[in-house]
This record gives sequence, C-alpha cells and structure tokens, in this order.
Amino acid sequence: MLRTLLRLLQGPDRRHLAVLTAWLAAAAALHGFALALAGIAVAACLDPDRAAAPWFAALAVAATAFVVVQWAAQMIAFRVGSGTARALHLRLGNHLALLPLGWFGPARQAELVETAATGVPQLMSYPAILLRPAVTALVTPPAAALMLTVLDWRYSLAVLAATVLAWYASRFSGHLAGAVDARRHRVGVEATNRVLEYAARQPLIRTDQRPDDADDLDRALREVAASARRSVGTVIPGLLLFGVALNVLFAAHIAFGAAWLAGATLTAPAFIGVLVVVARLTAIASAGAELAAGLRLQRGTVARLADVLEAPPLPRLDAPRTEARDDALAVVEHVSFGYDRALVLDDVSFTLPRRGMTALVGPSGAGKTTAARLLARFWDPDSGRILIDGADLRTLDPEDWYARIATVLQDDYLLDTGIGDNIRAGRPDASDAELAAAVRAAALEDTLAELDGGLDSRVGPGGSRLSGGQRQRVCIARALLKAAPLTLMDEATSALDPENARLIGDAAVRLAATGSVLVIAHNLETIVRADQILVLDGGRIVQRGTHTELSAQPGRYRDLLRARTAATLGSGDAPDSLREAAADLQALRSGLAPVREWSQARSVMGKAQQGRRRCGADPPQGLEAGGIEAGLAFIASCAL
Amino acid sequence: MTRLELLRPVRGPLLTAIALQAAAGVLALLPLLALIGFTDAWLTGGPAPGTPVVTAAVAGTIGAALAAAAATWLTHRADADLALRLQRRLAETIRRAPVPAVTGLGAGGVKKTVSDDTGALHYLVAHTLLDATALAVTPLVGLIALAVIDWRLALCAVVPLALGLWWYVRAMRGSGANFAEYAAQQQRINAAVVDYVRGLPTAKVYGGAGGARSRYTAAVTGFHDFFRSWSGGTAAVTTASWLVVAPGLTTATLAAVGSAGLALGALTPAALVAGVLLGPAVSAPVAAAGPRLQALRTGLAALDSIAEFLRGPRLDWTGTAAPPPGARFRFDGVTYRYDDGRAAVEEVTIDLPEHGLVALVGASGSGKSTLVALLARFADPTAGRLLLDGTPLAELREADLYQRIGFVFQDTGLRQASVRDNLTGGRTVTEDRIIQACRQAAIHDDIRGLPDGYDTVLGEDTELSGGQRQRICLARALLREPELLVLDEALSNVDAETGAALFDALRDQAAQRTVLLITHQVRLARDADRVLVLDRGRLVGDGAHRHLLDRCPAYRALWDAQAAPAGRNS
Repeated sequence: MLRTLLRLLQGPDRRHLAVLTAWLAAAAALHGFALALAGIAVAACLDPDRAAAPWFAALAVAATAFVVVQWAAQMIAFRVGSGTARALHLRLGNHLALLPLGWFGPARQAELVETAATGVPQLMSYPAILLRPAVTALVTPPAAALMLTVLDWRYSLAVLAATVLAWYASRFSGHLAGAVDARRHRVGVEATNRVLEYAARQPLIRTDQRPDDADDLDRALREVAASARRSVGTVIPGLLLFGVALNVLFAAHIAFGAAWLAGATLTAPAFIGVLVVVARLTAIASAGAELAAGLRLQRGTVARLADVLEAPPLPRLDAPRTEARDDALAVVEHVSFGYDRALVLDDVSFTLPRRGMTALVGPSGAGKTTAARLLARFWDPDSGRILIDGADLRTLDPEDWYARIATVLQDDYLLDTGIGDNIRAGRPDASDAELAAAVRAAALEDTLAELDGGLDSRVGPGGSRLSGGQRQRVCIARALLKAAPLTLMDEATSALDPENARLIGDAAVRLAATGSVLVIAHNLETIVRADQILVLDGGRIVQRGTHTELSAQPGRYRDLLRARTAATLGSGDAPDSLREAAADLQALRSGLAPVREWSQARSVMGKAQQGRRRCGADPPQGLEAGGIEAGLAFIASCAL
Repeated sequence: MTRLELLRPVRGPLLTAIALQAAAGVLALLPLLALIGFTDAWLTGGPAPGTPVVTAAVAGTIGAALAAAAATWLTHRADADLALRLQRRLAETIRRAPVPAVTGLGAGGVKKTVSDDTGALHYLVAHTLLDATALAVTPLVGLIALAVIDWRLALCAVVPLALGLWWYVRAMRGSGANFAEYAAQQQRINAAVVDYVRGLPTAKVYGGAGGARSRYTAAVTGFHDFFRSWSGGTAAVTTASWLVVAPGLTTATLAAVGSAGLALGALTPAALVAGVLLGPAVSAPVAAAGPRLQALRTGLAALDSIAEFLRGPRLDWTGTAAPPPGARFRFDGVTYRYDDGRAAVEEVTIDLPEHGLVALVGASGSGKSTLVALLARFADPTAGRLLLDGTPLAELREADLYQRIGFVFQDTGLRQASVRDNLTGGRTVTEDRIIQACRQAAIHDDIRGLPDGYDTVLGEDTELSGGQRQRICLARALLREPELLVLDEALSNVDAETGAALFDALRDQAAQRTVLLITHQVRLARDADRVLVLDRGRLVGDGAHRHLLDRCPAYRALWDAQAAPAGRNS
C-alpha cells in the first residue's frame, strides 16, 4: 500500500512520505532498543551477578532518544498526512480534466464522488496515524531482538523467527477477513440497491398498486439476510487466527525458556527479562493487526485512486500542421467513430466556416450528438481526423481547445452557485454590462425579477431550483457571454417550451455573426436560418446545402420537410389560408393545377409574413430552384 | 424513536456477546498470572506451581479464544438480523413517504440512510461494540490483578493512564465544533466534486475562475487548510497522549520504580515481575481509544439518522370512503410550499368536470407538475384540500384512488418485464382490450415491430424511445378506464404527426371521462373544452380558449409568445 501511494504521489510529496517512513522506522527501532533494555535492566536487578545501573543508564538514553525522535516523526507525520491528502485531491482534480469524457460512466462517477469526498480525507490518517503502528509492528520487534543478544542470542533468533511468522499470520488472517468483508459488502450493496430501486420506482409502484412489488422486495431482502447469516461462520477464522497465532508464539517462547532453564543454559532473571520484552512485543503486534481493518478500507481507496490517476489521459498526437484555410475553422475529414462495436459515424466529412451557422439534421440515432461531441473532444475519432486551423485536433492542448469552444448541450450542467456566477463562467472577466446583455439576450430578465436574490440566487445542486427552461436559458446566456470561435448547441426536443427552443435559434444566429455555430436542430425554424445544413442518416452525411437548395432537390431533407408540413398542416393549427396555399402548391407539384396558382399561393405566403406570423425564411420568389418545396417549407414554418 | 429502540430487537444477543467478550478479557489474564506464579519459583528456587495452575493457563488461553469467537459470531448474526429488520422498515417508510422525498432530487437523503447509515451500523454492531468492550475490560482486569499483588505498583501503572487520558481529553476539547466543521467542509467537497464530476463536460468548456474545477480546488484547499490548523493545534497533546503510554516507556518506568523498590526491600521480585508484565497493559489502550471512540460516535450518529428517517413524514390512508362513480375532483384552496418556504402553487381552487378535455397550461416552472403530484397524492398540500366528491383523498383507499385516476407522467420508468406485463400491471386483461388501448395510444404498430411483440422484455431485449415509453404508459392508463386521465407533458416526446393522432384519441376519450392535459404547448389548449392557466403558482385563468385570449393577459402572453414571429436579426 505504501508502495502504491508513493507511486501515485509526485515530486516533493513523494519525498516527504519516504522521509516520514524513515523517521518512523528510526523511532520504532529506538522503541525496540528501549523496550529490550528495560527487559535487560529488569533481568539485571533480579540477578545478583549483574550490575543494574549501567543498563538503567543505557535505558534512559534510549528512552530519551526514542521520545525525541518519535516526537519529531509524529510532527512530520501530521504534516505529511495532510500534505499527502491535499496532493492526491489536487492531482485527482487535475487528472480528471485530462481524461476523455468517454471514460466517465455513471458507476465511475458515483465512485469518484465517494473517493474524493470520503476516501481521500480518510487517507489522511494513513501517514498521520496508521503508518506509525504499522512500522512499529514491523521494525520494533527485530530491533528489540538484536538488543536481546545481551541476554541470550538464541532468543534473538526466536524473536526474529516469531516476527516473521506473526507477519505471515497477520497477512493470512487479513486476507481471510478481507475476503469476508468483500462478500459482506457485496451482499450489503445488493440489499441497498434493492431498496434504492424501490424508492426510485415509487410513482410506478403506487399507481400500479401491485401487491407483489412489496413482496418481491421483501423476498430479495430475506435472501440477502439469509446469505449474510450463512456466511457468519466464515468471519471467525479471519478475526481470530492472528490472535491465536500470537498466543502460540508466546507459549513457544515460554516453552523454550523452560527447557533451557532446565538444561541450565539460561538463568531465571534472563528468562524473565526476555518474557517482559516478548509480552510487550506481542501487544505491539496485536495493536498493529487491529489497524489492519482500517488499512484494508484505505487500500480500497488507494486502489480506486490508482485506477483513476493511472487511466490514460486524452492522447496528444505529434502530427505536422497542414496549411490552415482562411475560410474554414474546422475541417472534419473522413471521420468514423463507434461505441464498443456499433458504428455511429461512418466516413463523415464536413467543414465549419469561421462564421455562420451549421445545422445538423436527421432522425434520432443518426449520430448528430456524437458528431458534435467529437468536436468537443469527448472522444477521438476511430479513423479520419478533425483539423482546426490546419492542425489535427489531437495535437492541440485540450485546455486551449476548450477555451475556444462553448456548448449548450442537453446534459449541460449548472454549478451550485449563483445564477450570475454560472453565466460568468463563460467569460470570468466580463463586465457587468456584458453580463446584463447576455441575460437580456437569453430572456432571463423575467426569471431574475421573480427571484429574491436576482443574479445572486443560488441555482441548487445541478440547477435543481430552476425549471428546465430556466436552466436552459442560463446555459444560453453563458454561451452568449463566452462568444467562442465555435459554439456547439443542441436543441432539446422535449421538456421545453417552444419559446426556449426559439431562444436557442436566436442565440445561434447571434453567435453565428462572430463565430462558427453547430446546432443539432429539430425546429424547422432554426434549420431554415442555417447557412449550411448537414443531413445525417445512419451515421453518414446524406445531403448538405442550404434550405433553399435542399428543399429544391429530392432526398432525405425534402422527405423530412414534407412529413413536417403534413403534420403541422394536419394538426388543425394552421390558418385555413395557409392550408389552401399548401394545397395549391401540392396541386401544382403534381401537375394538377395550372402555373397561375403559384401566384395565389405566393400572395398568401406574403400576407402570412406581413401578419408577423412565425416564418422561417422569406417566401420563395419564383417557381424555379425548388420554389414549390421551399414554399411548402415556408408554410410549414408559418404554421408551427 | 430513540436509537436504543432500534437496537432493541438484537439487545439479547448483543448483551450476551459483550459479556462473552468481557469473559474473554478475564480468561486471557490467567496465563499471565500463571507465569508470574512461576517466576517466583524460578527466582527463589522454591517449589513450582502444580498442574492446576498450568491447566488454568492453558484453559484460559483456549477459553479466551472461544469466548471471543462466540461473541463475534453472535454480533455478526445480530448484524444480519438487524440489517433485515431495518431495511424492511426503511422500505415501509419509503412506501409511505411523500414521493418527492424519496425520488429524483430528494433521493440523496434516502441514499445516505439506506446505503451509508446501514453500512456504518454494520461496523457498530458487528465490530465496534466488541472492540470497545475489549478495550475497557483488558486494562481493568490487569489493574485489579496488579492491585491485589501490590497496590503501589498498581498506582504507578495508573499514572501514564491518567496522563494519557488527560492529554487525550485536552486534544478532544472543542472537537465538537471542529467535527461539525469537518463534516461541513466534507459536505462542501462532496458538493464541489459532484458538481465537478457530473458537470465535467461543462467544466471542460467553462473551466474558468468561476468553474467547477476551481470550486473543487477551492473546496479541497479549504478543507485541508482547516484540517491542518485543527490538527496543528492539537498535534502536541495528541502525540503526548499516546507517547506517554508507549510500551517501551511504561515498561522502562515500571522497571525503574520496581528496581528501586527491590533495592529498598519494599518489593518482592515477584511483585516487580507482575508490575512490568501487567502494568504497561493498563495504560496501552489509551493509544487506541481515539479510533474506537470515533467509530462508536459514527455508529451512533448513523443510528440517529436512521431513526430520524423512520420518523419522517408519512402519507397515511386513513379511510375506506368510496364516493360514487363519476364523482368530481376538486382542488380547494390548495397551496404547496417547498422546504425552503417558496410556494410551488398557491391557493389554487379548481372543480374538474365529469367529462371533457381540460388543458392546464403555463410557462415552465409555473407549478403544473406540482398540481399533478398533489392529485396523485404523491404529497399532501401545505394548505387547502383535494377532494373527491367532498371526501379528502386521504380518506380513500389507496388502490381506489389509482383506479379512479390514470396517470401518464413526463418521464416514466417502466419495469424490466414484458410489454404486456407493463401494460396490464399484472392484471388479467383480454388481448383485444390490450390491442385496442394500444391502438388508441398510437403504440400498437411500434409494439408489433419489437422482436417479440407484446412479449418483448423491456430493458433487456430492447430500448424504447422516450415517446414510445410515454405512449405505453398512456395505453396502460387507458386500460384501467379511469374516471380521470391525467397526462403530464405526455405529448412532448412524440413527433408532430403522432402527436396529432394522440390528441384526436384524447378528444375521443374525453367524451366518457375527464382528460386533464398538462402542457406547455398552448396550441394544444385551443381545442380543449376548457383551459386552466397557471402563472407562478397561481390559477390566473379558467375558461374557453377564445374567452381567455380576450380576458386573461397571462394566457394571451403565452399564446403570443408561441405564435409570435422569430426574432430574426434582432
């Protein structure tokens, strides 16, 4: 464990821990000398043939040295304990930022929270408190054994041998107890998970009113308890083996002594002196073993820490820069990517301009989110590459890249601080006026007016005090304030009012004036405002172009548009005039109506726009270049 | 309920185990006493103690091991029994608690109690009680034995104990406040690390001065600065408290005192040997007292926390009232406040009709979902009442309420069971009825497209989209033929075409029952028979679409916001 911990520490912290170990070992050795000298002094004063005074003098020197060195060691230990935990905490924080986001599964997240909040603070006690008895149990007996040669060299050997045996016994019983603990932990976790699941399912359980829900849980809990009860017997050997071993070893020392006493090769005072020492060494060994349980827990923490700290960070490639294109911020070249085995993106290439909005369109599961996330370097492509200003994304310092992007994604997270602080994270040095402008643009003013604290109102853990729509607005304001060269946005389809969805569109337009914006778009209204539309299907880009271009040609985009138009016109929301205009256009398309119908439909479209209905783009001017499809799309967007 | 009441079911085994552990401490002394008896004989050349003494020593050693084993066995069994009892009671409490307290964002407390506190309890019951017993008994019997042999040496042995305890108490002085601060600091790390880890994707992009990462660093630094100043202040006394009882030092002291006594003729050699053998053990436990007391404190705190959870608010179903079929639901001046005092809904009074399509609209955060939760009696209102035909919901039978109201929630979990089982809730329903309900919910075709149709096991064979799950829940609710059908944003996850089909189906349903459609999509309200408008927790409009458009400014604002032109180029 000490070895793993030393491996995880760096530079001075590693050195401090090593130095502390040396100090503790020195103190433990002096402790052994003092203890043995006390035994020798007792032997001397019981033995008329020996002078006790010199031994008491030596004992006084050793004891004083022990107190001084141990005191110094302990002062170092407290410092190193807190320094070690601090170093691990900070390293954990730094390393997490380097790991690819694909590394963070839900189970890992929960474990990380546990490790950082509870595990690492507990680890403090390892150098500060637990290392000392462990070192003492290991170093003090041999040191005492060496000193005991004064009384009888055979006992030196016996004590050394006993130390080795006791060490193995403690390892073995620790192993047994550890295995039992682990099983008990698994069993406990199972029961816990059952109850937690039961809690999470309450809405379903209550509205379903199935009696077997409670029975199922009860049966599972009873099974868990029965298996726990069955394994109780297995706890005993682990807990008792070591104590029994120490008793046997102590008894062996007495037996040796009795035999040597009978053979007159050992004097009674020397024997008693040795027993005094061995009795205390036994107590020291047993105290060391009692800490083993605590050490086992910490070993788990250290192993989990090692798992995190030794996970490879995002690789940094060393590839030559190609020439940057003036017009392109990012060039995605033949990128393929999959999770586990399933291919999600298949040979995808596109270019993001320095300014302007790109909309990613397609059915769910088409790979839109993955495409956006690859640009944020959540993962690296399996093949192909992404060039930023001519440089492979993998050659950039991730921090530098993150500084140049902003996100408004579905799982965007708010920190448990004030609303203002959350927005300011976009640009910490923004002025109050800039902050106010972002708040206004994200339509947060009303929300703030309702809250007592205004910008200082806390958002709660994960933003829980705000509604979904309010959270989204804060995220938008944050991205607006950052005004990054590249902004990645995801229009959530659910749980939002259309007003919020439109805010995303507005923010995208605003940001596209100064930088590049990639939007995963669902709303036609946003889509038609894009400078470039990429239609994804089954992981491939099947179409690309502007709304006008794409609506003029047969293909997936037009299919999507038609479905949308039919649905909106069919839902009974659209004004009758628009429905008639759509019917005109459809008749025109199928060749059932004369071309003059076009001008009728067009005049309806023009009126719709004048009436400040919600329209995506201008109505098409003429029949050429897909005017009919563009007209239908226009009507659909007006009818939303 | 106090913490001791929680332990009562296993009181017998625990007391027996403690007694056994104490007996083990006494028995373990026998071999040492025998040894002291022998030293006298060896030193003076007198007669060695007989077989009975040797037998007692051996029996003591074996007996101590057996008694300790039995004690451990008992506590571990007691632990398993207690865990089962508590988990059952926790489950029962969860079943009766208001839903917000046990699901979603409120679930943190449940997790702590169910997982952490019961874990801490395991250590208390299975380990700590016995450890603490051994810690107290061993020095006590040693001290008594030494006092019988020579009371002056016993006094000498007590000195390091007293000094060690005195310093320990000084080190712990004011620790109550420090422990509280420690817990608060740890909580801060907890919050910061949750923020940091959960929000890592965001933190990577927004990692500036206000970011999660710097908050994490600040929390961690604050914690360690606090801890260093705390431990710095107590380092000296803490160190002194266990250094004074270090075996090397106590043995040396007793050897020095004993040899002086021997030289003065005030002590016998045997007393000296007894002093150096038994004396150091009297004070040694002080060094281990800290961790043991800490473990004890943690365990008792966990007991308190569990007891508090079990005492938490409960929704009890007190009555067996059965209002006639077709009875009407009424919100009567209903207010619901969060724990921090903010009102989610305030003084809402609504009479729901016998049938018809009622839309409940409002901006996000206006309290719509809270009204649904109250209608489902997932929580009780802070003020006001929910009535069914004049009877408060609490006086109904629980099963009756959920038979009368069908719910389709915004994000519904489904069971890991077959589609059919999810739909019927384990009841027997004819195939025709199931298919009819699924057709009405526009999910029949989707289900037929699954690998095993209606027998497909969800979550195992297949994953459904959010919209599909919602439609299964709608079919599930329709199958029960409720008097009131409540849909909370149930059309939000489906595409426009399906949405329109579902809306038509709901219109049909509204002919025979009340359909309460909660939505942020105001356009759906246009075709409802009646529209309820919520604004910041208050009911500000109740009437037909046309009427509200003219009379209700809040509704007008909602309508305009959704129908207004896009803020292009603005």
